[in-house]
Amino acid sequence: MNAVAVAAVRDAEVPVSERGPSPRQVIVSYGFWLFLLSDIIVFSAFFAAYAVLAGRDAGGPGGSQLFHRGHVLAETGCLLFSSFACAMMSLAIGLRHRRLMVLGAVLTFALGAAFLGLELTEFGDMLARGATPVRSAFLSAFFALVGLHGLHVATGLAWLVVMMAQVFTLGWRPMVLGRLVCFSLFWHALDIVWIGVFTIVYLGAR
Amino acid sequence: MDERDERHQQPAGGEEPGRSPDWKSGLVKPVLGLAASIVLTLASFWAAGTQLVWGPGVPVLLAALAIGQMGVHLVFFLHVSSGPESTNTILALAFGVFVVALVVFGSLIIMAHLDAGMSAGGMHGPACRQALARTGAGAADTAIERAPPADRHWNPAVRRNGNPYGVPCC
Repeated sequence: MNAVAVAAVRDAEVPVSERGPSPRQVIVSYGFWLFLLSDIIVFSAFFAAYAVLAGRDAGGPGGSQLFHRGHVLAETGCLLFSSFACAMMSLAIGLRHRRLMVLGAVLTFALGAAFLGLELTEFGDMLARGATPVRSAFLSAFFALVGLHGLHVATGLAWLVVMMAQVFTLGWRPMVLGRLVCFSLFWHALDIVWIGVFTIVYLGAR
Repeated sequence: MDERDERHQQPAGGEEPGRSPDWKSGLVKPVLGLAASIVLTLASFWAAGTQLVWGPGVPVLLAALAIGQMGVHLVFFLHVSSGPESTNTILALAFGVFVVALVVFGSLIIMAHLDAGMSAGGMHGPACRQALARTGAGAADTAIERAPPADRHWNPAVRRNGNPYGVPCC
């Protein structure tokens, strides 16, 4: 009987309250999950500010004049496929397949960087047309919300580079694997926030 | 890893840190998630531009599609499930959703009321002063004073004519 089967038999007999602390990785993932939820609550404050100020353009350009649906669809596609590449990377890590992991990481990074590039192009275009954050309350809220998301994506890209360096220098240590799990949670959570952004900010623009 | 670590194949809110079974079974969830997300995203963009759906219904449709897609991401990418290993994750998620709803809808309701109380629906500054000059100073306020107190808030006539709270607007 192997260790897993022994544990399964013990699980059936011992009540949850008497099984002692969970493994380290379960606790770390749960703690990171709590961090992600608190991060989403931070985002919700920015969403609330945007929702309140969305119509306050102070006679300046409004959302429907500034946003391009095709551009936003491209950004959304980049982030979605980046999320998928990240899931592939997690799968390759589970199989301890280093080459496929690197492929997944490169795709995740490239698509994330493409998203960031598209977003910065959009920001640059808006600034060039005089739609700066100081122009109106609507634009302040817009740049704060979308900029905060972009900042998270940039942080995630930097984190991904660090994780790849750790895999290559430290190898498949449990500590490194745990961090990789946290990274994939972070990356997927950013995609969830983006769903809110493109629905409320871009598709809901008046 | 000792045996205790291997017991928990599905830690709260994430993929297993140990070994995945194989490519075939590992690919199912991400591919399903990707396909569902593509369909829901395209549906959202279609819904935002279509004339086929009754206008005021579009935001509701968009909200439903967005919530659906968030659910797809949670289940297929973040591996939140209804199993016993996800209980804590789901409890935390429920609390997070509650706080988010409180912050967003609370802000919207409070700011809408403050806005109605402060600037009388766009009658602010010069526009309001002109309106007062036309009717004689204070006439707009008298109309509100005449309405029964209970009506001041919700009576559309009072709301149209001016400040529903009787607060001077300029």
